[in-house]
Amino acid sequence: MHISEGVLGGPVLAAGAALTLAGLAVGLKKMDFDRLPQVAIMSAAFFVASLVNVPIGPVKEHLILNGLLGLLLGWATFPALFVALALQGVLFQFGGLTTLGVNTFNMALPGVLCYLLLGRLARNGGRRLPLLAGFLCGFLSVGGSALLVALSLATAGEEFLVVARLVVVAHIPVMVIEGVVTASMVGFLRRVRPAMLGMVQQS
Amino acid sequence: MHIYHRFWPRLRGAAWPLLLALGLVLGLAHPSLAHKVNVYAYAEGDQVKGEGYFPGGDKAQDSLVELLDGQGKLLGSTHTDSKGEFSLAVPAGAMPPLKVVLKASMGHQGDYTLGWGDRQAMDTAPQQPVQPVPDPSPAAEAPAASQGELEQRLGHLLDAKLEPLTAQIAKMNADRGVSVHDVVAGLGYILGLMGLAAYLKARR
Repeated sequence: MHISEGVLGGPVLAAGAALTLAGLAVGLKKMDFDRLPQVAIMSAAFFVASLVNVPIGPVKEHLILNGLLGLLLGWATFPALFVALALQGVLFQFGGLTTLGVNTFNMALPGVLCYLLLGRLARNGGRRLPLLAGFLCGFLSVGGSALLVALSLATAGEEFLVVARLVVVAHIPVMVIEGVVTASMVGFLRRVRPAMLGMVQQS
Repeated sequence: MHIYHRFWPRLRGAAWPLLLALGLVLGLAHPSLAHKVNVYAYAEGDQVKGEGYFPGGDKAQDSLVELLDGQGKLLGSTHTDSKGEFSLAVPAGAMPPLKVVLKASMGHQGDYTLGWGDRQAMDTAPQQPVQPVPDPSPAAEAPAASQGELEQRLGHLLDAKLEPLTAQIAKMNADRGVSVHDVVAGLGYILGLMGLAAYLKARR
């Protein structure tokens, strides 16, 4: 879902950059600096996750993890994704520097929204509800990003419904897998490292 | 048995991260990505031929290909076939360097610039029949091909023989896969940025 250089027009790139800057500002302001290492680790996880391709039917897909990042980092998802995407752009030629703003926003916003909507459920729910929250987080974040990518491409002259269907359908398997992975991570962290989910550690 | 009971629940919880880590290791061995599209092109005669593909090896089928000249003027466009291949005619007098842009779906786009070598190959490719030169050697009674004709045939033969090689070189030029160095460099940068942020925070 990295949009390449030269696909989008100037105003869209500028709008994406502005929105990402705003997200970065909020993220850096709200970031608890005691959790800096966690932000860095999740950024690193996102950075390498895109290299792991799993064949699903005829196509190869990779994990995106933006739902997990959103759930664990909240607004700090913006700086974490920004750094990882910038490095992917420079080192791997995925996306690019001019599209960095749009790409960061497309990936980070759904994660942050999931955090705001489902974060409490993932932390406080009973036995099953956090897993459901985790699944929805992974599932909806990828779906949301796919929709935002489609929206971005629509500004470059592609028919929104056509390209949206294409991008979303292509990512349905990833959405399900991300949901399962995020739910497992939530279940795992609740048992082993509740603090990572922002839960108060019971001692 | 005790150990099993004590550790199994934890292990089961750790199964997914472990699987992920395993996937990472396996995945790094074969970096194949659907994040970008690669395209390469080379000149043959007055044609520019090439191929579009995703780094996993999947072909970029039915993608729009545009040929631009040095000033960015559109010289022609076509679509890739089912094998991801395309060929475009170059108009006479096109200004180098020629650039090929391939637009795959979902915002993927790649380009490739043909170098001077390609341009020269295009210039020297036999386009008009060369004037037959009178054969000075009376030695051979055998089918005496004139020198020009010979050169022309040789040119075609060489073109055909060298095509896979030319294509391979163009592909190597275009292909810059992900290396372990890149991955380690990226992880190092993230660590360094974290250190920088911690340092700045601590100073305040």
